[in-house]
Amino acid sequence: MSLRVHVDRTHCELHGQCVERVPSVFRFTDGGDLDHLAEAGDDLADDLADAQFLCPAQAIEVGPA
Amino acid sequence: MTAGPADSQAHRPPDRVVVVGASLAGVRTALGLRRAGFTGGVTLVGAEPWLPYDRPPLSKQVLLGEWTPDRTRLASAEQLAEQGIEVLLGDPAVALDEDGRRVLLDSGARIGFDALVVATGAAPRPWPFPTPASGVHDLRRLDDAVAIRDAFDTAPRVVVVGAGFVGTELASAAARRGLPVTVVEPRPDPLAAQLGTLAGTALLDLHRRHGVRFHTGHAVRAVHGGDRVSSVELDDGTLLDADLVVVGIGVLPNTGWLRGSSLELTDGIRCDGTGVATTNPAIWAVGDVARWPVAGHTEPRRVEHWTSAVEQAGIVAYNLVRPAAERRVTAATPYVWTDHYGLKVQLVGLAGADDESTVLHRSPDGERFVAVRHAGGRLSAALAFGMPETLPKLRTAVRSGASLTEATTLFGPATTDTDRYVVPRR
Ligand SMILES: Cc1cc2nc3c(=O)[nH]c(=O)nc-3n(C[C@H](O)[C@H](O)[C@H](O)COP(=O)(O)OP(=O)(O)OC[C@H]3O[C@@H](n4cnc5c(N)ncnc54)[C@H](O)[C@@H]3O)c2cc1C
Ligand code: SF4
Repeated sequence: MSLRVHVDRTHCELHGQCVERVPSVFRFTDGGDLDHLAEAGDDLADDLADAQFLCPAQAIEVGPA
Repeated sequence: MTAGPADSQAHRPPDRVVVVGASLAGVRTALGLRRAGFTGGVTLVGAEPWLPYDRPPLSKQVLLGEWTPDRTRLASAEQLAEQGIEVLLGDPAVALDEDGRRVLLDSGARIGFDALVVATGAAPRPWPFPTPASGVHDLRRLDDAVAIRDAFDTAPRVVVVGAGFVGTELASAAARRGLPVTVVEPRPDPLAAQLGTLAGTALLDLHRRHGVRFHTGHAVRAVHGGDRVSSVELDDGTLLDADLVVVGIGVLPNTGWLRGSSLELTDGIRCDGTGVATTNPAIWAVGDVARWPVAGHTEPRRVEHWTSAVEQAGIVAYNLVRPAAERRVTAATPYVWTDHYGLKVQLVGLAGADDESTVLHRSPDGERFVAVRHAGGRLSAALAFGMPETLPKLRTAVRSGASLTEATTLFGPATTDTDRYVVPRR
């Protein structure tokens, strides 16, 4: 099984807490946009929950794929 | 049921955790306990009548009218109930019975605990003068933000006292609403304490371009008006006409209710890096009320940042359910942001007041830039002025204690996207 990852772009304020916490899923492009994998392995569930916790904009949604 | 001696506490999770302060740090601790697998009782006690809400949007989206106040909510009643968190709102804690392990609430209720988490935050520094009955506000609570937002509708002349983050964000919101705004600051170099002179000046210039006036180097001597405020008088005799005065002169930790306890309360509750109070192993503190160790600083200090509150809440929730040997300590680099006219200033690390600033990189139009703060050739902090994409690099550099020389190569010749891993875009 894997996890679906979604960032609500109308909420995201580019704090980069997710990039900091789970760099294998989230990154910034050189153009300054947030980019992320749409799916991630179950082994990242805890890290993704941390990223959700740390996102000041409450923009990250994680659910079953 | 007896509360065991301090060291048996370390091996068995507490039966009942009471969290005092139902805002960011408090609610995140309560929810974090469940995430960490805690099955005992959790009670969240709050002085304010509202469910936990987020403060950063108060001086940003709420003042601008972009968000209704309920969008600031951090947890719903259903979510808290679902997680088995008992919530007592509008009933501040007034005293702590340390030996009896009980918290006394204003209503007279006494709440027993095995572990107590203090998350009572901070409150605006009291204003030293008598003020007119209306037209003068702080900006800390939801009702403050709503009152100021509504006052904006009457086209007031706005005077902001104190050029910190909250005061200048408020100035930005007022200027965007087309209101005449004057900011008064006793220091000659507003925002320098927070950002350094270089970035502080850049932010001030941005404000000036949006029509905000600054009176620096002079303190307020009096606030005039009968029922309503009419003017603000500075110590050089300047009189500033005002219909709305907002005071943002800093905050003090809410520790009054803990007076007389063993806790070390000088500017916040002194804790070790796991979040436990230095004088009582059953008491923890998180967020704006707490003084935790900070990398690069010898004394623990309060960091009034959103991410610190959240990080500390996560650590304490984790540590509460574990024996002392498995506890985590804080490792995060402090991070804070502030929004002005749609531009975001982001700061990582904690600079000393006298640290120098060096610009590493500028946008082609010169309006946005990246700078580092440093002392003795080592980075203490870095800031992105309208360039959020540079943050990951800046964080790494600050965290690793990079030298200034190393930092200057961070934004060398532009790289293309292709030599980084590629992620499908949604
Ligand atoms: C307008 C504004 C804008 C901000 N913007 C930013 C920003 O852009 N970025 C950033 O990083 N940070 C920002 N901050 C700071 C950030 O909001 C705080 O760091 C954060 O709120 C700290 O959370 P806390 O839970 O520790 O404290 P608080 O949010 O202060 O909450 C403490 C709670 O405890 C309650 N309480 C107090 N005494 C008692 C008692 N005796 N019994 C029970 N309850 C009690 C209080 O009523 C309050 O609800 C801003 C703050 C404000 C006010
Ligand atoms: S932490 Fe949240 S706001 Fe920040 S970049 Fe990630 S999704 Fe966006």
